[in-house]
Amino acid sequence: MSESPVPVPSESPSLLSVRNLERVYRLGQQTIRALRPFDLDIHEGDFIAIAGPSGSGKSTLLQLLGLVDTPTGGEVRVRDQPVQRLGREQRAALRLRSLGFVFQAFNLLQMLTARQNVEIALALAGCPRRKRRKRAESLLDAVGLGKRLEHRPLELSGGERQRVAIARALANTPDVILADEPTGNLDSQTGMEIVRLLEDLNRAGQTIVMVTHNLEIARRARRLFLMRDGEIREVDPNDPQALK
Amino acid sequence: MLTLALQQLLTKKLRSALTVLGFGVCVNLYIVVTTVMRFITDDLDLQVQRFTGVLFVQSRGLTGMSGIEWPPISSAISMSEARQVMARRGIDEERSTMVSFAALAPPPYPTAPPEALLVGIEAGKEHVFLAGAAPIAGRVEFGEIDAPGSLPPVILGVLAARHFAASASETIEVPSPVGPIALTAVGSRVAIRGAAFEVRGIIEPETNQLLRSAVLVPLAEAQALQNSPDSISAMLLSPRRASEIEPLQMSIEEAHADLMVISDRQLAENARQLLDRVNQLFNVVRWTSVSVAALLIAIVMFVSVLERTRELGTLRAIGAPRRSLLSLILSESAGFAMAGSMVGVPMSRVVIRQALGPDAAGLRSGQIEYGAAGILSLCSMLAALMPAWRAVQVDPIIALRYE
Repeated sequence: MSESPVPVPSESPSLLSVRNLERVYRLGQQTIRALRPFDLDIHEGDFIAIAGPSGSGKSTLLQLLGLVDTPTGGEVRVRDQPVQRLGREQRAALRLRSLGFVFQAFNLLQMLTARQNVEIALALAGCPRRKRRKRAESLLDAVGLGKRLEHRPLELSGGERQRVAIARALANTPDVILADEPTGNLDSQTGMEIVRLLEDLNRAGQTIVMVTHNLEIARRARRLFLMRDGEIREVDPNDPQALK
Repeated sequence: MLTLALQQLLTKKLRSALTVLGFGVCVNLYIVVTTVMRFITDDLDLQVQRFTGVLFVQSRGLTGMSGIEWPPISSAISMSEARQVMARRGIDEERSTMVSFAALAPPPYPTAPPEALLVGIEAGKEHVFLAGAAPIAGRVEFGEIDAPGSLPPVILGVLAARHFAASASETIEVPSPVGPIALTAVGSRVAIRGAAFEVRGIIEPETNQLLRSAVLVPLAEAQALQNSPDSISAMLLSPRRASEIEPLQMSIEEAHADLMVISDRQLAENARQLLDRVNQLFNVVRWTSVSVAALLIAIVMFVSVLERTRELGTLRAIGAPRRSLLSLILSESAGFAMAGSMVGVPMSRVVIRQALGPDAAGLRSGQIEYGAAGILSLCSMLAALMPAWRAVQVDPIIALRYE
């Protein structure tokens, strides 16, 4: 699958892996191959960018990696455990424990404060009230929002909202953060700030998979995958020719 | 999830307020109707109990053919026939009397006797009708009725005493659940259909609605007020021996085909049938209030779930189990039900006080209030299961879609 050798951060076992993963949609008589069979291993400490134009299948891939969609072929494994046979509730539990989501539109709960938005992920995992308050405050402090704890999303800028979303994604110390166009709703400067935050998190050991259509941002990842018409190929993010 | 539910209720202030108010009105309606139902049931039971061991005679009028009219205002028995009946063997004359009824004011609510009910009783036989009821003021007997210069006597039930207070020569104030009320004073003069009477006593209110509304006067005075000196409405007959009640009933009916002789058992059965009809209507109102409350919660929660599809999808995407979303929606519904009950219960207390006035004494029942709040809340929670189920079905993919 890989066209050029890409440095893998560690020899550690895969946190998330896919084998022959395929997604086909059937609309009446029409068959749409959103994702053609491929393999992928995501290791601890990886910072992976998946780039491609609209309709290339990046979101489908993220949905499959995020266990919110079911493949029509192949399998997804979390820490080498297959997830096909898991029910919806077991998948939800796995998402809660092992995956953190960052959405393009932030998807914060509007009626809750920044702190409460982070706390809710902890509450779902059964974290005691006092502990989750402390953790939410420390996470928001870590993403630079220590002074905006009690602000509601509408009182925050786009960049700040995305920082809250990142803090929420980190709440339950997930194996992997899945970021879907995390800069898509931000201006370029704020977008770069968010990418720098993700880089900082990655340097601290956090595994990140980011979907983006912005090649400039995608190139900042350690591993880069390009998608087109449901096909995926890994390229060297430092090779300008590969990106053409 | 409780924080989220609470925040949702507080964020949509107007919608929440209207939902709580709507639920409160339903709780109020349920409590008021249930309270009135219980009041009427207890009151009819008390009325029937007071005539235990007594035969009740009325004419077979049009009303009488299809059931027992109570009190028999439209019944008419000629005095000559009444005297024949009273003269029969086996009747205890001391405990039997001819009675005349006439409405002086309309009833305060359906099935109730008129608010002021003229009751003519043979002088000296007041105890037959009053059956041991005590006075709260004066005496519950006519006393001397022919003293020169004195006015004919009247004994008033508490509702009738309130009714005539406006025209009485003297009044007294007594405490009641709706605050102090003015009653006609003992010794004062009242005008009944233009004729002056002297109030000799007021009957205690803890009796039944018939006695509370009674305007008890000597039979001859009642007949004069009704311009019917040759007829009465009914007779209350007590047999000399309890075992003779059925033979006495049969013998009167045989001899007087135009009369209806009703035993205490038949009176109780009639009261039960009357209550069944009234309760059917009340039950329709009660269950309508339950349905409206449940429907209100279901609609509000359905709208809420539809509006928050993305939010619910996000919660599912970040790993919220179904039970969390279920508890979120049910918590919001429970919040509406609790707040609505807190509005509806005090509202019902005000409505009952205003609607029943002095009759509201002792009517407030925690059992009815908690029962109403419980039943309406339970039905609303069941209705909220539909939108809650819809919420847990939200696909987490929705959270990843960007529009």
